[in-house]
Amino acid sequence: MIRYITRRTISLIPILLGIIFIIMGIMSLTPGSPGLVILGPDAPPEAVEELNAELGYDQPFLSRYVTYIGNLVKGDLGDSYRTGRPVWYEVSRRLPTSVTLAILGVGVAMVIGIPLGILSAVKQYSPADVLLTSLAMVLNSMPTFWFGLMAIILFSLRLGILPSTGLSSPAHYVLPVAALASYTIAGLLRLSRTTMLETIRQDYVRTARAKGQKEKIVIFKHALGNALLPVVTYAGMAFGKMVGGVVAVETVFSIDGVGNMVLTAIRNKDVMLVTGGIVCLASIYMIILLLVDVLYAVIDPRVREKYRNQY
Amino acid sequence: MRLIPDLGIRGINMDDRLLVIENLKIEYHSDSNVFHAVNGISFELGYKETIGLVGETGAGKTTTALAIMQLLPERTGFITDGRILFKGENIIGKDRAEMQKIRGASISMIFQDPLTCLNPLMTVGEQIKEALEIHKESIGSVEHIDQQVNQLFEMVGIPPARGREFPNQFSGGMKQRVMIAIALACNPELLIADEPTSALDVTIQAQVLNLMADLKKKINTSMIMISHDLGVVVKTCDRVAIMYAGEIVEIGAVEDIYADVKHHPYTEGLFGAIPDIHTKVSRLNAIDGLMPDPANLPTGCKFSPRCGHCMGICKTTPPGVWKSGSHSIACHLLVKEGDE
Amino acid sequence: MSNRITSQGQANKVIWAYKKKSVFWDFWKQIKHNKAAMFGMILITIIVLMAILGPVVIPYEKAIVQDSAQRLQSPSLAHWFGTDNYGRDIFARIVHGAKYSLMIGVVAVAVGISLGCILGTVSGYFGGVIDNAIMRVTDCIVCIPSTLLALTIVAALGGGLGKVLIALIIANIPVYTRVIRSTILNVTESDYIQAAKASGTPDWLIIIKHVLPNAIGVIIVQASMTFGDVIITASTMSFLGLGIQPPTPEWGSMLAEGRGFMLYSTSIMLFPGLAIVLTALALNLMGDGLRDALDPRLRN
Repeated sequence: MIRYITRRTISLIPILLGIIFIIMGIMSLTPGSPGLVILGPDAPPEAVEELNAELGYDQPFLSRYVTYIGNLVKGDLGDSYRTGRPVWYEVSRRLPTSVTLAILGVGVAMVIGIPLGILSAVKQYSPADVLLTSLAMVLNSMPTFWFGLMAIILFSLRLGILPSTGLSSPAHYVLPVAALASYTIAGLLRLSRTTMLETIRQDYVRTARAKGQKEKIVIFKHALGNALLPVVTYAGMAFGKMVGGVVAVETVFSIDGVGNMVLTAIRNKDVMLVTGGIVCLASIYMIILLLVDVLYAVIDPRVREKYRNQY
Repeated sequence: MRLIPDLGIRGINMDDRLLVIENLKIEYHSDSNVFHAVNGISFELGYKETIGLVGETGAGKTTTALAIMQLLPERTGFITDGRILFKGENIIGKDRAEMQKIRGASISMIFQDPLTCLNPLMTVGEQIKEALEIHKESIGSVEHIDQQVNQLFEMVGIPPARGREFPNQFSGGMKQRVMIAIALACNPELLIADEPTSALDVTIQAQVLNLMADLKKKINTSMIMISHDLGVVVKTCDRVAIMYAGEIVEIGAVEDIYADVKHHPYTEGLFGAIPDIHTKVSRLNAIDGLMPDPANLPTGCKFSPRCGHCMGICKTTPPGVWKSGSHSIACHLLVKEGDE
Repeated sequence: MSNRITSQGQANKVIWAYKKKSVFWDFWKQIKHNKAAMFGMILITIIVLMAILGPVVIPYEKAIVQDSAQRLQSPSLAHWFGTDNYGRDIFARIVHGAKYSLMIGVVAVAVGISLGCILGTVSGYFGGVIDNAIMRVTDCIVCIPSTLLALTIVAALGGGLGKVLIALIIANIPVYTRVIRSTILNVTESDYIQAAKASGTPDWLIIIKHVLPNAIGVIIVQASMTFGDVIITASTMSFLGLGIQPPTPEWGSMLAEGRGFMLYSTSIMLFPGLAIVLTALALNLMGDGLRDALDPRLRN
């Protein structure tokens, strides 16, 4: 097991390097140069060139990439073109906010979505099932930002019971988390329902009934565990969608998180900050995927078996 | 037409029958169609007796077995007529809790495909233990369940230490042994084996069948052996019933079916299809045609479209029963001959 | 010898065409029963018709004419969905905006499929280093959430319809690459491919006749499932100011424009959003129906 974890963690590194390569590669297509952005369009060209050389902008892409990785390992993501402060400083101030939102979003989605999906499956074709499935379809078709906007209109502007800006109290978390979770609740509900329906039809569930086992135990002990395996993977990927959705939610609710920071940085052409922010978010996503894989191996003996034989 | 065979072979009297099926009819309902899977079958099974249900896929054998266990798919499978008397009591009306007490403890079933019948996330030992734990009140011993689990492992020829492993670490034959251990854990009076060896290699088949024969003697279980393989049936059964399109067309003792002269044309077809190892032929003798669509059964005798001896009356009237001792056949041909 | 192969080839063509037709027919019968999917199909047809015919029925001027006296009105007979902060008729704008969302969806998915299939074919067919390289790159792209990818591309190349499209296409390609590649790998190992090769069928023909039909089901299902997501992501980008810019009446940018006036008018935020939801809903319902119809296990 430890070996599997180590192995998976190590295999993470090339992918991370690849992701950073892609992100940096795309960002390097930005017209203009750092010097221009930092000093402004009115600066004398010599000063711009000097600054560019200082920042290593004239180096070929690959060498800049290697330097970036080297600095990354030391915790240095460069300095923001706008503020001059280290990128890591800007990101780390805001990362906890965004990550908290994302985790809360996934958590709420799992707590609500999975039980409802299972209920739907066990009571297939009942009115509750039809209602839940329809609701899930609609939520799955709703952009996160629009859910947030409508929630603000209803709960903040019309009813005045929930705040709409910032995160200064627990109540402030309600609407943003709800918006983040909405899409994933729908996805989890539908997926749990599908896997549960499939699992209930499996032969080993019939075996359990043939033993004379009580129906409740058949569902919860035999069917549920098997049904939830794919759901675990989906939750991990949902986190990834959330990392993206966090951007929209932070915009709508004016929350000072990494998402908002990246958006502002894009408008300011602050390449260093944009790169740093996106690299951080993507890395977090990768780590979550790794955790999900490990979790899967812990739960499913078939996966353990496959990897046990690979040494 | 009902077909209640005479059980004179072993001198078992009327009160001593473990299982009596009377005129059982089962339908499957889909959105647009009604499938008549079982159309009025009747047979009886005594204690310590084994009966084989033989027929092609779709004859209704598994459906009958599931009906006895009351495990027909809830929304689509319905018993529309008849009685299933287990130890004298009709189990069709029983509610879920009562059936749960019967399943596993009095009537057990093993299924066709062992590969998918075990929960992949539970160890094998836990799954056998569960079979005991469910019925621990009725079988009376709470302690020593682990000991019993080990005994069961040994009984089916698996080292008890393997109880800690997961089903994916077992081969097909071993998984079937585990299923047998689960099924026999509480010493049921009736074991239904639905094609237990069809998914296994031939060599493993022999092993598993031998195991089942040994255990049957040890535990004195009655058994319903469902198979499409005549070779399997002759080795394990005392009596045999041939099913076609949801009906029993011929029933009798093993000697009657395998050695006697008179047979239902379908039975003749089944035996005729077995290649003779001593004769060289260029084509096998298949029975022409296919089993009828259960949603669209023919009137009269259901085998008439495929029967080489089909007469006019076969197409219009269901056949009567010809009986000779323990051997019964539902066919116009034989009834007519009997009259002469 | 060659005569026999020709007639066999012709026979195969007939069988293949017949199979295709009857597969289609079975599938249509199956999906007819699915009321939700039929509803989705009808809905999307209405939306598509609206996108195509709407601009003919409602002239573009109606969507851009500003009328300060009529600002921020609620729905009325004159303005079915009310008016926005410039007094423009929201309904007209929604009708004219439909084509953007639909086109983005169609182009992103279609190009994604095409490029993905080509890449997947190259990868699966040539194997070796090329395969490895393509799969590594694909894995990396998959690991970047599509919104982040879109943000990166927009950050570097600026906003606008084209850049968002590029981002969506790139995000879409990996799925189809994998589907085609795994189909090729599965199919090349099967016996009937060996037989076809042995009788001299050229490889490209094998790919067309055997690989594509196998993969098409999965591709269609995938496409229908991501269509809705693509539309949602595109409108999100517009809302963030990074996609289609105002005053173009794209639904996302309409919401961006109206955001400042949320306090005064619900219509301005409600109707464009509803348009997005209904379009995505229709596509998702259809996608589900397609998936159920093509997946034999879920039939009862």
